[in-house]
This record gives sequence, structure tokens and C-alpha cells, in this order.
Amino acid sequence: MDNPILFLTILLPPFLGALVIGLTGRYLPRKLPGILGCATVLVSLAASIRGFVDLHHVEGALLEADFGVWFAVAPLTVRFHFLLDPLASFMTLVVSGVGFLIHVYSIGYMRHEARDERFFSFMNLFTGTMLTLVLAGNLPLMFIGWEGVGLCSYLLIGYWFTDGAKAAAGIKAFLVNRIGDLGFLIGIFLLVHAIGTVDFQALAQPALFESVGAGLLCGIGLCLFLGATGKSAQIPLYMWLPDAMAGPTPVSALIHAATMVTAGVYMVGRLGVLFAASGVLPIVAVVGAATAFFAATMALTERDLKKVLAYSTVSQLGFMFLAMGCGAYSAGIFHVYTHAFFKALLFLAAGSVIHALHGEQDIRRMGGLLRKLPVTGTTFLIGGLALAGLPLLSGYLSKDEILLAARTSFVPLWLLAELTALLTAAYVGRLVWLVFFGKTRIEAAAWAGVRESPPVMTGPLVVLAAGAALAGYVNLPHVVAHEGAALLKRFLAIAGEQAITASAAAEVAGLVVSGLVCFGGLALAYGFVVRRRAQLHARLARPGALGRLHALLLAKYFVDGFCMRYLAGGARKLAGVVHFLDELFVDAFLVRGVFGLLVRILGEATRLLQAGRVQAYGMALVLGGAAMLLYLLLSEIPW
Amino acid sequence: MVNVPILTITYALPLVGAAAILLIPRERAALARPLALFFTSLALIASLLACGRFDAALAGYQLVESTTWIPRLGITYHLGIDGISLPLVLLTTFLGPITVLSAFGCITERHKEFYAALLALIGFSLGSFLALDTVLFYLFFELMLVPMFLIIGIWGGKGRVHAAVKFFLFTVAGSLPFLLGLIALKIYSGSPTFGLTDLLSMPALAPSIQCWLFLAFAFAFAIKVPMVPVHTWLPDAHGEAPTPGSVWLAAVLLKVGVYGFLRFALPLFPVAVETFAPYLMALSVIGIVYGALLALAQTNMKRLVAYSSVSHMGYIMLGVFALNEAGIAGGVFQMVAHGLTTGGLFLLVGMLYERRHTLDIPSYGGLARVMPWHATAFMVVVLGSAALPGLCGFIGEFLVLLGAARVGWLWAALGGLGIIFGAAYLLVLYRGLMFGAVRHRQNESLPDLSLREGLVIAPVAVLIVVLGLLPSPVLQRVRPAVGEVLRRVEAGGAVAGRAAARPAAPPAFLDRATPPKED
Repeated sequence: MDNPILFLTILLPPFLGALVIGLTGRYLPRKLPGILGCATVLVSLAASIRGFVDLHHVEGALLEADFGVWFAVAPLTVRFHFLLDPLASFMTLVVSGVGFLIHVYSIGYMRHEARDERFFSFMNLFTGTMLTLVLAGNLPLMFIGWEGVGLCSYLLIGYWFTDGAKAAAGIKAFLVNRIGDLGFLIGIFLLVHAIGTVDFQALAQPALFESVGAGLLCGIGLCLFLGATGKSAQIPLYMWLPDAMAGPTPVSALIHAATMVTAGVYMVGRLGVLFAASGVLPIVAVVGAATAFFAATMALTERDLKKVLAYSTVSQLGFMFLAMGCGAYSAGIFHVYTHAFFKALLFLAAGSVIHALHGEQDIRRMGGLLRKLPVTGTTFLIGGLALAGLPLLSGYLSKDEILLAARTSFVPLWLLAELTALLTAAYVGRLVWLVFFGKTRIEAAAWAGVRESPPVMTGPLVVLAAGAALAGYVNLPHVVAHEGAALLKRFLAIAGEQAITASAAAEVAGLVVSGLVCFGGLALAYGFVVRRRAQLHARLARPGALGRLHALLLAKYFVDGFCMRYLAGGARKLAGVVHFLDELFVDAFLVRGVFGLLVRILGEATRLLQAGRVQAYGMALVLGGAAMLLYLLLSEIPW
Repeated sequence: MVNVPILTITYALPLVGAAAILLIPRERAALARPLALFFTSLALIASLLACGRFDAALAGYQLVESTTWIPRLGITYHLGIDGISLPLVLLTTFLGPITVLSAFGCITERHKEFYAALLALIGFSLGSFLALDTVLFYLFFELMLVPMFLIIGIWGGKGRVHAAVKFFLFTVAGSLPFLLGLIALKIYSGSPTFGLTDLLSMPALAPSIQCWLFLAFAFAFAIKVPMVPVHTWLPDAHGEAPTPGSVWLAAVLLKVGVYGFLRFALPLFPVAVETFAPYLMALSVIGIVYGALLALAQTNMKRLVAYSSVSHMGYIMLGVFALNEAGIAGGVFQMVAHGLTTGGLFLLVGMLYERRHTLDIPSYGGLARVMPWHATAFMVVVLGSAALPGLCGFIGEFLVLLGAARVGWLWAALGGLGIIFGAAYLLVLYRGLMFGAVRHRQNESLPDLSLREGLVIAPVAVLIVVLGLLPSPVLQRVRPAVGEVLRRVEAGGAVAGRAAARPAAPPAFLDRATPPKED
């Protein structure tokens, strides 16, 4: 059913907000940009809810709107065509809902800044482009949102641009994403070549892919997946995300945890039929599981509060791709949704801690903060336990779905995922303990000044904590309540989803194992971090395998350093060499060689002119031109 | 009304303006500015009227003006526009008043002569896009050189003489074979005139003759574009030219080279085009990556933008020699997009130069705090240049790469490296100028955009967004004309006994995927 008004009320307010706040913000009263920014997202949220409700009454559960042709050239016509199906509707709720809470929190977080109109303008622009990405009805239109959110990410990572390192982190994020985006583009080109359409509705027809060669389909899938790894920080394009923590914390929560980084997962779900037909799903699963594992190990030793959460995000995104790779699309989207709650919560609560400690991010200089920050601490604990997969919290339910899918498709990946879940609980336990419990490692003077954040910040924390605890109940395991309880899965009904069949006993076993793994991880953390911290440090300090492993993890497997040094640095060196060659070889030798005699002769003339008599030369040119015209004119006259 | 020669009026208005400015007495030289603005604005209006009369659905030349001119030599006065020249004419007339307005800030001496030269340059550029007689085109092509040479040589920076002479020598070196090729073309084809329609109606030339003549033409146009390896005049010319000169050079002059390929070389020598297309595509891809790498190594901001032009012009040529609708239409669109974004970059860089009199990027830094409006406009233009979807650069590069991918996906992958490197040098430039702390005390108090500067850059920035979201009005007009060019290329290829080179059905996919090694 066509409903252009609905789409306009979802999409336009954040864009208008970005424009108005960006252009007039510096002339508005101090607090108005923040309020305006929240209001526009609230309008989007209301419209998203309306769309969600409407969808239940519409035949075929599909709303659409077509605003005409964007561009058309043989063989491709791209329209401004937007779609609201259950998947898109669900994502708009997550984006505008979590987005709204984070906008409200930001009013408090940014209140010490002299001005914040740039911040809210970019945040609104982000919300608008993210909603465009979600609602787009074809790949090129999705690409507007895709690169648009990347742009906002770049602008917001480098928000405090007077710090050169932060600006550089923004560039790194943009460029790494561009590598993925090139894959995305080539995927589109191959798709146009092979199938001739880029419309999502058309691409949901499995019959379309039957006549296409397997190699070509595989190529399309791989190219598009490369795009997804860039945006969603998976191997090999994950290294921009930890650096992205240079941005203000609400940005980390909204863009680098809850929404933008899940765009790759969403894209795979959106193109579910294509990915299922392309045969690259096993690669998606392996990349996801491997990323989840390696990122979790790096989170274990990281000392920066936000970066622990960043590696954790990379790891959880890996879980989502593992689900997608197993064809369990709704499980992946389910985890996108629960993760949006608990990870946004963790980041905002971390922001509250950093705010209270005036910018301190090193967890070695925290401890015991629960007493000083009761709301922040409690909500952080809830978010952390949801992340660790404590039974009955949201993260437990969504992660269990993924583990079940992995177990039924490929057992080694399942084992790796269970191991990762164990590590997850361990690093969560370590983080929560080091920040909020034990004896504080903050100096007494600073300790006395630590205050809980204002209600405008803690309010969103409480709402998100409720979500982190309860959000999972929209999609209960099959065994608990049979078909009726998997509300989300039935609602989403993603095309191309592969059915997972497991006996009731196997499901129960999975639920129990997940619970045990969570407690096991927490116990590990308790054992090493709480009880035997001193012994652990002594062991790590001695030379040996454990010490070397620790050093390896601290250096993040040397991958980032290698890439920055040899790839980024190499490109710069290459540029320098090319520059030198261009001046020396191409300009001085090759070109003059080609021109040969001509230049040598004219060169003599040039030397006469080097003495500044260029006007005379110009005059000669003009006279020459005039003479030519005169000749042509004279030849016209019949003598 | 119907018979008003609107095309002649369009290009003659700036030329009349140039003459008028030269005629004002020296003590009233201040009149040069308003006069220049007046005449370029009139030309803009005239071109818009022509656009209004243009029928978007037709493929052939429209608003044609044709009379004999020098019958003894077979030279005619023949003007007309189609969907390829119309966007370029509009780009030229749109940038006319903007370039004049930008000159107010940076031209401090010999006002009269400068504005006369600039208006002559504008008039000749328009003429070259309108001419349908090959000799007439050649005349405009050559005449453009004179005012450009003077603008660089008189109002340029320290190395202006060297740069001007280098620019002149390169271009003249290309012109000579072009002129000889023209004469040979008329003799071999047996055409009664130099008019393009007459030349095209002659029976096809022998393939070997086509190849030689194509090379003669291509040499001239490739220097103008410029394609690697004959690009080395461009950074010098840009580095030394005053702001309006750089803007015009990048936004309009380079396009004349591509236009020459599209208007003359492709339809006239279809067999040769088919033969040389892979080599020219390879040179284009090399140009994209090579230019981008060079841009990455620059610390002089004008040279950086100049090398970015080499890279972007590589995209345009890649699209043109993909020889399919997406590629060529994308190339034409990219010409407009590049005109706006690179023109905009030179305008903004020029505004910085006027304030600090240095082009050295490390002399700046932290300007986003000092000059927020300038930084905002700069961001829009940079993103347009970096082909952000939703801005004009994206449409051009997307279509070009789509066209290249239809020849072989590796072309698109290699050409697409430019979007990564392009983002790299542009964002590094932006960071260098705008981000970080303010390191030099002079930069603390730089004034933000003046009203005049706002009027210069705002239309460019707005058009970058508008064309990115609504490219259809342009593409609709471009497509029929591109179809006509392709029809000629394919027909020519078929006549010469070659199989239709690019069948519509998907070819073997990796066919021609490996670019031939450059020789």
C-alpha cells in the first residue's frame, strides 16, 4: 500500500532538524538545539510506531512510497522508492527509539560544552541517514544512507576536531569504510550485470537467481559482504571501531554500538534470498565467529573503559554475523535488537562514569564507584549481565538462539561461539569489578568530588536497563512456549530464512549450557581478577607463555599497527615515490622525449621569453590571431 | 522570435563585453567589474533561454545556425547544441558570473585587461562547445589559449612565466597534428565542407586512415584533458594561475578536451575508437590512481587540487571509452560535477590564499573554529568531490564505474580505487586546513566568508546538492545524444566488417577483464 505521508514523517524531521540546527543553531539560545534535536527524533519515533501498527492491518504486511526517479541510464533505473516491511519497521523502531533516548541523554552529557549545535545537527543527520538506509527500497538508495551514516560517524568521531588525533581517527573510520564501500559498489555493478535489478522486492524472488552462474553469484555475495564487514567492523575491516571511541560517548552508544554498525547485519537480512542463493553464507558464519572470538580476547586485556566496550561490540557483531551465516536471519536481527539496548546502556553508563570522573577512561584508575554512582552502577551491572548472557536477561535469550543455530549448522563454529561466550562473561566480570567494586584506586581528593549524573542522563539509563532486562521476551525459545512465543521471528518473517529444527531436549540442553557458560565466565573473572589478582599480575610479569600471550593481546595481535604502518604508511610512501618519478621521469624525461625536437626548438624561444617579456609574447599571439582572422575575412571578398 | 540566433548571442555576449571593457577609458577602469558581471549574467540568461527552447526528447543538433562562411575553403559557420553540449554550455555560463565575482578579491592590478581577457576566455569556451564546423571548433579551441595564457602569465604567482609557457607549448604541440588531421580528413573523406554533418555523411574511411587521424585528434584532446602521461603542464598552470584562472581551467577548459573526443573523434573514426578504446581505458585507470597518489603527496593545496583533477578526469575518460550509455552519460555528468566541485575547491582555496598569501597546507590548521561558514562550504564541496551519494560527484562516478563494469568488472575495481584514494587526499587536505589546533597566530583572526564570497560559493554548494539528488533533468537530455554517438560508433564498427563489438547480451564475464599493458 502506498503511504508517502508516513515515510515523509519518519524521514524528513531529522533531516530538517539537521539543516535548521546546523545553519541557525549558533544564533539560537544555548539549550534550544538540543531540545530541537530531541523533538525531531521523537516525531520520527511516533511515525515509526504508527507504521509498525499500520503494518498489522495491511495486506502483505508492506507499506511503500515512490517519490519518482533518482537517475536512469540504460540498463538501470533507480527510483526514490522506500519500503516498510516488518524487518524495516522493526529497525526503524530500534533506531528512532534508542536514538531518542540517546539524544535526551546527550543534552546532559554535552551541557559543559560552550556550544552544542554542531553535535545535535550531526546526530540528527545521522538519524535521518540511518532511517534512509533502513527504509530504502533498492541498493543505490540504501547506499545514500550507507555512506551517509559513515559521513556522520566521521564527523562525530572527529567532533573535538582541535585534537588532531581525534580528527585522524575519523579519517581512519571513513577510509576503512570506503574499502568496504567499494566492495558494495562492485556488488551492485555485478548484480546489474547478472540480474538487471537492484530493487529489494525483486531480489526477494529466489527464481531470479536460478539462471545465474554460481561463480558470479558468489562474487556478488562476497562483494556485498565486504561492504558489510566495513560498516559492521568485522575481519578484515574491524580496526577502525576501537579508534572511533575518540568521539563523544553518546556517539559511541548510538552510532558505534546500537545502530550504524548493525547496518551490515541488516543488509544481509535485507538481501537474505540473495545471500542464501550466493553460497557465501558459510564464509559469513566463519568470519562472524572468528571476529567474535578474537575481539573477545582483545576485550579481556584492554584497559580503556570505552575500548573494552568497543571490542565487545565487534565481538557481538560477530555473533550476529554468525547467526546470519547460519541462515538464522531472525536470530541475528533479534540480537541486533537486544544488543542495541544493553550496549547503548553500557556506553551511556560508561559515559556517565567518564563524565563523573572528568574524562578519566582508564579502568586501572577506577574502582568502588558503585557507592558513588548508584544509578549508573546498577544500570551498568544490568547491561553487563545481559551482555554476559545471564539467564533470563535479553542477551541470554538472543545469544542462545544464535548458539542453537550454530550447533545445528556447523559444530566447530558452535564450540568456538560457546568459548567466546565464556570469554564474554569473563571480560564483563573483570570490567564491572574493576570499575564499580573493590577498593577505589581514585585519589582521595578526586574521590570526594565524584557525583552521580543529573536525571536527564540517568533517566535514559533506567529506561534502557529495563529494555536490557526484558527486551528478550518478545522472542521466547520454541521449547518454552511452542510456536506462539517466538513473536519476533513470526513477525519478521525474513525471506530466505532457513528453518532450524532441534528437538526439545536439545533446546533445553542449549539453554542450560548457555547459562553454565555465563556463570563459568563470571567465575573465571572472580577467580583471577578478584581473588588472585596479585598472583595473576606476578605470573604475567614473569617471562613465559602466559606473559607472551598477554603482550600479544595488549598489542591487539599487532594487526592494527601493521596496517597503519605498512598499508597506510605504504600508500603515503608510494605517493611520495610516484611524486618524485612524476617530476623526474614523466615530466622531465618522458614528456620531453616525446615532444623531442619540437620542444627543444621552442625551448630556445622560451629562453628569450623567460626574462619577463611575456606580455610581448602575448601581444604577438594576439596579433597572430588577428592576422589569421583578417586573412579569412579577406579571402571572403570576391576579388 | 523563432529566428533569433540565440547560440551566437550566447557566446558573443561575453566577447562584446570584453570589447566594451577594453574600450572604457583608463580613468574609469573601475567600471570593468560591473560590466563584466553584467555581460556574463546576460550570457547566463541567454543560455537559459536556449535551454528553454531545447527539446529534451530529440537526439540531433538543435537551435542550429548555419551559413556559408568561407566557401572557397569549405569552412562554414555552423552552430548547434545537443544533449552533450547543453550541460557544458550551462555549466560555462553558470560559472561565468561566479568566476567574475571571485576575481574581485584577488585581482589587484590591470583590472580592465583582466576582465577583458576573462570575458574573452568565457566567450571562446562557449564557442567551442557550440561549434559544429570542425574549423570553427579549431579556431575557438586555439583562441581560448590566448586569454588563458595571458591570465596565467600576467596575473599569476611567482613562477607564472614558466607555467604559462609550459601550458602554451603543450597545447600548441597538440594543436598542430590536430590541424593537419583536420585538413587530411577533409581531403580523404571528399567532404565538400569542414562541417561536421557533411563529414559524417561521407562513406566510412579506411581503417588505417581512421587510426592515423584518430591519433592526431586524440593527441590534441588528451593533452587538453589531460591524460597521463601528458598531464604535467596542469599542476604548474594551476599552481601559478590566479583563482579565476584556476577555476576556469579546471571547470571548463579541461572539458573541451573530452568534448572534442565525444563530438568529433568518436563519431568520425568509429573503427579506430574500437581499436584504441582498451588502451585509452587503461590510460584512464592509470590516470585515476596515479593522479590520486600524486595528490596525496602534495603540501601545496592548489597543486593537490590540480592532481585531483587528473584523477577525476581519468574517471570521465574511463566512462567515455567504456563506449556504452552508462559510461558516456556518466562521463558527461561527471564533467558537470567535476566543474562544480573542483571549481568550488579552487574558489575556496583561493579565498584562503587571499587571506594568508600562502598555498602551503601546514601554514593553516584549525580554521573550522575561526571560519565556520567557510569550513561548512568546504566540507560540502569536498564531499561532492569525494563522490558522497546524494551529492553530484556520486552520480557521475557511479555511472562511469557501472559503464566500465559492463566492459569488465576489473576495470571498475581498479578505477574504483580512486574512490578510496580520493577520500584519502580530500579528507587529509580538509584535516590539514580545518582541524587540529590553530598553530599560527595570524590564523586566529582570519575573517569568515564575506557577503561577496558567500554569493560566490553558495550557488556552487547548492547545485552540488541539487544535482546529486535530482540528476534526472540533466541525464534525460544527455541520453538521446549519447545514444546517437553510440549508434555511430557501432554502425561504423559494423561497416568495417567487424562484428558488433559490444553485444547487449552479457558477454563472457571476465572477457577483457585484464587491462592491456601500457606500451
